[in-house]
Amino acid sequence: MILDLSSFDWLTVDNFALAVVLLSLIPSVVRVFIGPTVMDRIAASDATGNVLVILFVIYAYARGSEFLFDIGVLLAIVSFIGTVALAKYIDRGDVV
Amino acid sequence: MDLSFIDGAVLNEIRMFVGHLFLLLGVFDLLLGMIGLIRFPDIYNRLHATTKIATLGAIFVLVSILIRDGFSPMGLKAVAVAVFLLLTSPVAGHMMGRAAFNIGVRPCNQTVVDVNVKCAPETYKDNEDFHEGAYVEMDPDGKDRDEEGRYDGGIMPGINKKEIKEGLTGKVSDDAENENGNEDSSEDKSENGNEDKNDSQNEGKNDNQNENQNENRDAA
Repeated sequence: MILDLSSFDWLTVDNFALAVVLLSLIPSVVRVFIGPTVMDRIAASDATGNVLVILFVIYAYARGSEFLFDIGVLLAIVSFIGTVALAKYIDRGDVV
Repeated sequence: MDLSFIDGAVLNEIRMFVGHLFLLLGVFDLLLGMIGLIRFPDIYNRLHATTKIATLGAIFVLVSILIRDGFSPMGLKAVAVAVFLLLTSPVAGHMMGRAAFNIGVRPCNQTVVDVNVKCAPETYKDNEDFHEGAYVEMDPDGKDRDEEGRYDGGIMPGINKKEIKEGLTGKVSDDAENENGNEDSSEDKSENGNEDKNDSQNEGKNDNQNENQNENRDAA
């Protein structure tokens, strides 16, 4: 072959997706810092949690280990609970 | 029926190709949501963009893992996470939008209001769950809107703790409507609104302190 692809083993679809997910963490963190209102920051942190879920899920598949998948499950649950608690606190000044 | 012409390796290739396609679709939706989060002018528009990350993006990625890995432990966990995200992400988005509306975050000034927002408290007053004063009238006199119903000079006030308390007690401070109306970016407006607000708060504190001192002198 003219082009030896065996030296490009790292260039898989999973690694490309991981790179894109890591790059898209940047705008959400930027919005957490520059958000004009509190709700912008909360929405951006919720989006950050979802992006981290996607990141750990793809990484768990690329590593082939289902134990790393549990981190994604845990992050999904904790992100949802935190978002709902913050939104209720901002809404009516009390969580419960 | 003779199915011996089907090659298992070819089927496997097709399965992996479809899985990769779903993965790239999910990552593409993630990128679109992030562009919306950083570019849209308003909290409501940003929520519209970012809830798509959890539903479309994450669920496409999880479906791609299910397709490529089959009903292994990882694939079943992917199904569980997909169902969980499909159930909880709209709830979280709705609660964030509701909280933003209740504490009085204004929409951007390209927003056109079709229905008068003043009708909301009267419809909710008979409801027992309506806690008193949670609703902040966004535009009680209609003076922020021009003839076409557009908000001109509507700002998105920076929310601090005092403003949340005012929102919970139903009082809208007049300082939230600042004077610099015709600027382009909403972030600059909110920063200016913050400064004005802090200045007025400090003035109010100083006034209170002066009054207290006068009272103390009178008592003495």
